[in-house]
Amino acid sequence: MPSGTYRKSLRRLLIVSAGFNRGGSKSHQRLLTVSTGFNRKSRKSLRRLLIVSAGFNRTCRKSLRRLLIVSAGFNRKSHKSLRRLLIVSTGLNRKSHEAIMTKYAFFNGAIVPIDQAKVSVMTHTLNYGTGCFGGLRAYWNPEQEQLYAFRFVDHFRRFLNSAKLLLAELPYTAEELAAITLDLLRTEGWREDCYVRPLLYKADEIIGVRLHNLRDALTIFSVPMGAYLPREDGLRVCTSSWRRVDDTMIPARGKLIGSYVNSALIKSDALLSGYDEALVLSQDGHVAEASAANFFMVRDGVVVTPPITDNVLEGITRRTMMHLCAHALGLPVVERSIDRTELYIADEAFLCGTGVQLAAIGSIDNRTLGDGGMGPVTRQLHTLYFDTVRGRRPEFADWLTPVYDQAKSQSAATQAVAAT
Amino acid sequence: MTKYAYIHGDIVPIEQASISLLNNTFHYGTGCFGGIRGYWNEEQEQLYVFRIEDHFRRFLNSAKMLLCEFDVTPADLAKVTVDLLQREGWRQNCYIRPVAYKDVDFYRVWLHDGNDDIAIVSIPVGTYLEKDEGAKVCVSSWRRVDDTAIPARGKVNGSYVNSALIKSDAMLSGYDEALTLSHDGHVSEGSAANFMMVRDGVIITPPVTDNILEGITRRTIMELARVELGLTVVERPIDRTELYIADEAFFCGTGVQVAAIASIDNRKVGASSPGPITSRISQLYFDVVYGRNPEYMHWLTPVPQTEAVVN
Repeated sequence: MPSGTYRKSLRRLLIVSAGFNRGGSKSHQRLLTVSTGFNRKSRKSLRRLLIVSAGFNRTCRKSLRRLLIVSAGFNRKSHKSLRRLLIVSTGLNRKSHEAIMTKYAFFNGAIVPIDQAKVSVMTHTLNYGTGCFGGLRAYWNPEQEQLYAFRFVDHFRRFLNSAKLLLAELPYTAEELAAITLDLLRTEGWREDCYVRPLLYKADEIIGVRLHNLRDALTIFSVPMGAYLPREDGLRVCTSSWRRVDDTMIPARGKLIGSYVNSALIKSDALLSGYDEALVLSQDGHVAEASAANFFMVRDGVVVTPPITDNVLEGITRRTMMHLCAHALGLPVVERSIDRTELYIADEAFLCGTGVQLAAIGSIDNRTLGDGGMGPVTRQLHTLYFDTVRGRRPEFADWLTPVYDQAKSQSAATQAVAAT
Repeated sequence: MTKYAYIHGDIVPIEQASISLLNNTFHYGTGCFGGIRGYWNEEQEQLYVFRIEDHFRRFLNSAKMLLCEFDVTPADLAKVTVDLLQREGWRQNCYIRPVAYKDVDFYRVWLHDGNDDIAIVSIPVGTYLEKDEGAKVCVSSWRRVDDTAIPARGKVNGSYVNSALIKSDAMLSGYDEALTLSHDGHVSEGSAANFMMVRDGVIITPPVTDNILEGITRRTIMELARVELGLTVVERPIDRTELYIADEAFFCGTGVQVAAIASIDNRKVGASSPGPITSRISQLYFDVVYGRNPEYMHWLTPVPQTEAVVN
């Protein structure tokens, strides 16, 4: 790949991810130029750039790093200093960067070192998208020195439903899958927030394009997510020119691998046009969801979200938000179809999902919502959600499963307190 | 069995052609592929690859839709493929599968990361077992993915879960194959093959704007029908109930080649299966791909044999 192309796409990436305007791109340019012999000031602006562009996790930062190094076409020495710079700017030293790597995967029925878990390029699902996956999170509570698994059984129940859409059968119940995952997390020993990805795939090699009479296989692995940085400014969102895959084509209600190329088309178009995210309409013109997150808006104190018949993911976080709004905030929640131009006159709007968690929308198609930041309902919900998932709201403790032995982690916490 | 694969710019033993479980395309279908055939001509002891550059041209077009940036030409990919086949030394028909994938982890659901790679493998295939009596076909209750959601015109990995849903439903209901309608109710294609029908001596096939693959075999057959058989070929939308009154109908594609349709929704197609035009097209097609028709040798790329194979 010519380095020019990389540089261009990097620039685009940075500019876009930061939601930057023209001025931002200039400062980035300065940045690259300067990074071969930079001064204090540019370092700061790079850091700001990265932090702003964030909302993303460490690995993304890593690939950004790779990208920057490659794109710059620098000499060896300057690569190194750029790299140091970037590492410092993400608040990670080299060691901790290495330490965050995933070590294990559940693969072929057992927990094995991740480097032993590979699949052939001829795998059916790689070629045809004939699989499904899940996305789960576990949250680290530093006071209790405990990792809390959030709604694992509910997630695996949906995962098995997605499998059913693909005529796949797994010899596990949702409870058994949750137990396997807790084992996996204990083996990794994460002491920070992490993300869990179960994936069901058709393990046969490329043959017929079909779903039945194929070997269904399961893998689960987890990745550390680092600290969550709330984003105060709302996302810049556009309405996508693509349409959501329809339930008569590829169901969006489950997490089917093939349908995510639709999400990726939507997301890249939005980013490359200078937006953070896009909302996608279903074939009939109603708002479905974002590229890979459920959508909510607030109108006149009522929380509104598209119904599950409008080609949306049947999101666990969506259900969680609906429950929290109704039962903790006492707000009416309505599931109904949403028209496109309703987006422009909403009082507040936000996206939610395991990946994005909860992100406020600042503007839609260049029309600012509220003051462009996090609206009052969204802010309340934001606090409530993060308190809940970190185990600070006893009334919602049923949604959490402690990963580590409670007595042990409590005594560790006590010891830690005693030591100080 | 397959011994080699092309991946990361090199031909390597097939066991080394693996991807990480974290791979983006494995999780999100964010890749595209091709399907090419090599035909073994027993008399000439020669393996011919059919329209290899045309296939790679479409392959790179599919990649373009997915914002892949490859610094290769169809001719480059054809050359690599011929090298790969030479190493394998197939002395039988084979199927070639190039796949473009995002060589990045799954963290982001987007396309513009820039780390794209191409892998190519080939597998031996027997002589295709085509049901002589023709396929029993139904109209699927699923709809074809729409160009506004996931384009069917290229071979985008993710769209094939739509094909697989269609195919399995048909097979589990006792049919061999299904025809899929696009969102507006017009006939698009089979689960993974283009569709043609004959009405009053005219060959009719859906246009490329009706959510179909822009098939190389489709183009081949349109040309052979026009030039060799002097038939009129029309691209136009096809209504569902036209299927029931067609004189002949067949599928075509690299996988199915030319496959006659015996019935659609339990209504017999024409008087006999395969019909006379389908039979002639099939005959012509196989003569061309096996290198038995001197007029179309420009569509074939012979694979040179290594000494070891000749001995």
